Amino acid sequence: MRFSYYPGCSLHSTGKEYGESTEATCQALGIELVEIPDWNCCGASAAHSLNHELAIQLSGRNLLLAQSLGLDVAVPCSACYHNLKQADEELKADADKRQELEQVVGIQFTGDVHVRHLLDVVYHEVEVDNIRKIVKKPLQGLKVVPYYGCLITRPPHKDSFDSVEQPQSMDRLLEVCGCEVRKWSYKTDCCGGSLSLSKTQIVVDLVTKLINMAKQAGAEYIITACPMCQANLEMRQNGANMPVLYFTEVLGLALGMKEISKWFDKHLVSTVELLEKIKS
Amino acid sequence: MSVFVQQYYLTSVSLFYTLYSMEKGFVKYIEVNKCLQCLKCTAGCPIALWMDYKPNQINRLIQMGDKERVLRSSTIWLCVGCQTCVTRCPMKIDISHLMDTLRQIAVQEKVSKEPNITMFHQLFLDSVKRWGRVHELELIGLYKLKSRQLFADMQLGQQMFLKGKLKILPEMAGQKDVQQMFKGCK
Repeated sequence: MRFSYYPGCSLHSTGKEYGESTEATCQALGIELVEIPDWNCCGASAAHSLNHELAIQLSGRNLLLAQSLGLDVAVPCSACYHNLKQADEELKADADKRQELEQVVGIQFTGDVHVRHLLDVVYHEVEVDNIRKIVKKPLQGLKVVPYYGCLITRPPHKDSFDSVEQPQSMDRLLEVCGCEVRKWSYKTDCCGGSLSLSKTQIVVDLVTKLINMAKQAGAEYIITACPMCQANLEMRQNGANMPVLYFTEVLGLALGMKEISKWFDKHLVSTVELLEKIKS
Repeated sequence: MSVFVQQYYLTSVSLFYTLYSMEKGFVKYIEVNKCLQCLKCTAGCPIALWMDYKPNQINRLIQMGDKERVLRSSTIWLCVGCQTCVTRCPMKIDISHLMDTLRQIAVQEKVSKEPNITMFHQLFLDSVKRWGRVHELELIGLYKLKSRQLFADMQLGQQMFLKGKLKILPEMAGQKDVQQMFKGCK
């Protein structure tokens, strides 16, 4: 199965290990990712905060480029996913906006490209049973909580791939990797998103609550599917020593990939203990 | 509701609407006047604790036409767009989009109770305009410099840099199109 791939700015810098683990795991799972050539930033929170039309156009251009590839687009970053999805819905509904965008980019918008989160692609296209067959190292005893954050499930779309208040897709994927998935009520609570630099204390408070709740649930690791959530949870946890991993890294671990230590080296919270646990 | 109150209410709401419908296609029809004050938005809002007016209060202020207090609130800048209120509102009011809209009017009128947040968004867009993709090292550096918090997060920044998480050089892509978009969407 083939998808066009929109990594977004983070996966080339602060979330580099997410980008690398996404590419490696998808290859192992039989998903071919074709990176959209010349993709641009989706505008993140800044564009929709300051200029709505610009936000639609920035994201819309990437949709048009994916359309030229003729492939549905897989997006690993929840914020990019939300922006692209929003642009897609608005462009479908508004002929004027469509026209303005087409004039700039020079490609006709057909609306044929489906915007899908990477979690959705892995969960629904590969399916849990097929992953079970290729798991080499079941991660027995790895106590985790899945953290979906905001924009994977919210706002609900017509074609939402998971429940809005109680999503399960990552839970199932982690289970099939052999993890001990702990129940907690904070899987879709907010990490503070773009306030990390401008209102650091708010983010610290929100993250501290999440980390405490994860600990209370008996988790030793938090698993995310968004580079923003991961960065906030790791950067703003004030020495709580709670590693925050990407779900693609966990899949990579279970599939016995060799590149793992390269990804884990990039984390700000030490994952040495985890690597030793896996080896033993 | 007496006829007078009803009239006042409708006029102030429509006045406010005109204000932010000035730009073409700026606003999907946000039906703030449908708000029941059920407080589901505020109860679920992760940031409500820090806001000067809670989301439901912003709705009420809009209904009363109190533009000043709305545009000068910290609320419109602190909202992170987590979409919890949008998801739970029984009247399907898109509060998140409303907050975006209010921020944009506030920028037009040159008011902001949270200048650092406004500046961060602005610097982010500047970077996208320059390179087509955001250059995080530049963004963080400029923000720290301009907000005079040069030494906050210094250690963290160093650590990230050493781990190769902050690139020295920007990635450039689609600049021609992106710059044209910035020009067209002023």
